[in-house]
Amino acid sequence: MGVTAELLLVEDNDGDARLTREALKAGRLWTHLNVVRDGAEAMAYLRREGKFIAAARPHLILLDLNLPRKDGREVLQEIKSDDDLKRIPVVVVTSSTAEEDIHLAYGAHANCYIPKPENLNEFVAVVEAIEHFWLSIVRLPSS
Amino acid sequence: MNEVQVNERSEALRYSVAVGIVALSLLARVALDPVLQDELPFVTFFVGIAAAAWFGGLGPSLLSVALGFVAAEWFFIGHGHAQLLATPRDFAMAGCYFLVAAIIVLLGNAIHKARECAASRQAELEREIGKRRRAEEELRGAQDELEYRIRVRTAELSGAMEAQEAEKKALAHKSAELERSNAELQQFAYAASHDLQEPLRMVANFTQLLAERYASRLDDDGREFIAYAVGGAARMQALIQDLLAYSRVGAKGRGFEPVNCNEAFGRAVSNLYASIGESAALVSHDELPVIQADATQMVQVFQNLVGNGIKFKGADPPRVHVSAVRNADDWVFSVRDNGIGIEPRYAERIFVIFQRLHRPEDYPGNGIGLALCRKIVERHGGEIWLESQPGQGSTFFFSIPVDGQRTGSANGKHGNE
Repeated sequence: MGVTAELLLVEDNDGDARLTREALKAGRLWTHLNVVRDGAEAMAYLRREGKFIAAARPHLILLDLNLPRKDGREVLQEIKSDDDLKRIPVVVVTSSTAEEDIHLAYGAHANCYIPKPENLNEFVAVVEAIEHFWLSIVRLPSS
Repeated sequence: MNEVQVNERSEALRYSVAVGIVALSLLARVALDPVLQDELPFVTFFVGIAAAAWFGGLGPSLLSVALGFVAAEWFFIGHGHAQLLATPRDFAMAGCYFLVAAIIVLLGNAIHKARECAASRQAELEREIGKRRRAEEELRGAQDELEYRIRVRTAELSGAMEAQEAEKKALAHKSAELERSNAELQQFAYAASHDLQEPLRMVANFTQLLAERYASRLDDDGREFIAYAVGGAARMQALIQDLLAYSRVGAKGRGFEPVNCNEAFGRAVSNLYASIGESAALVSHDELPVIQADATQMVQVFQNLVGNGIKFKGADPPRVHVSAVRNADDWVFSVRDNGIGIEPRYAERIFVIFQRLHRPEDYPGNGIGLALCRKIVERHGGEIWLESQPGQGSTFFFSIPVDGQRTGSANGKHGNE
């Protein structure tokens, strides 16, 4: 991609956010990870509202489903029904393995659905796989 | 009895009346004597005989004929002298008298009989009417009684029915309550174990990260402590996984469908592929039936029981054999191994969750496998038990009802995982 890849992580668990950052640090790509902690902040970030006035448009969104305030499912709906934002791929990473969540996520045009891995090594492997696939193999539209 | 008495009385009355009538006839004839002189000595007696026949019938009329004759002879023919039938004229008159008297008697008697007959008919009719009236009254009484009894019984019955209805309602209410509290408990166990995972994941992941990145900067004690923390967190994760699986049996079980146990067994064996290979185990089975069950859970039961047979092996390579026998109402499956066996006094304890008979170093595991089997089998309406002696292998049995007694669909709802 040449330049730094902008990632938006929507995650209320600081530990998972930190682990994601650690895993990305180990990767070979230049990535910039922006973390917001709930759905309302996520939408504000994407629409560059309030304190996010100077926010960079992300190349990829990592979205947890179970969030305080605005739920991840609502965030997904809003992104995918917005003519501009819907072009940003959304990777759902969540601890839910419920069949209806998977169904609902793809129904709302999530780009993929990944159950949050239980242990550290798997977690790192998944983050690296996301990074490798979405930021290296896949060709994304230029913003 | 009464009727006979009435007859007797009227008999006496009839004869007395006949005598009285003859007396009256005599008086009448005496009164007419100045006019008639010696002519027609019997004339008034004919009237008397007719009256006696009309009133009293045959007997009294004959009596009045005889008395009339004697009286007439005595008073008007012999005039006080006992000269009965002294002349041929007397005979002729007597003959005429009896002839006329006989005619009168016959006629009067006929009239009397007709009258009596009518009277007795009337009486009979009245009796009949009386009887009918009494019968009607009795019937009405019986009807009233019956109606009363019906009312009482209806009241009793409706009371009993109401009581029964109330009892039924109370029972249904209780059973619904029980079901709800049971479902709530299962949901609670599920939610609790699910929500415990998240913070535990943090502990496990960061202690592991700490161990990986900082091991070189710690002394031996520090590394040992961190190793315990990492190991403990990992074990707790495994336990919570098991608890989740256990609570999922009831809370997330699917509906029952026909399950070919040969296929379920096959899937269980392929899941055990690695441990079978490692221990050079020999796993075999007889022809197994098709049953009404939750397919995933049946695979789990076979996998846990066969897996145990392999895990708790003796000196020889493990051999596990599965077969099934049909009873009246259920299929009884047996899983026989040649492992270390179990002391009979532990036969119950091993089915309790997290109960173990060995140290994890000797035989790894969390004590969930058999508890899970029991929960699954009981959800299917069956039972699980074992026969074993230490050193002689074990045989686990479990039964599954042939008709799939309970439908599992009631539990088949999904939630967040």
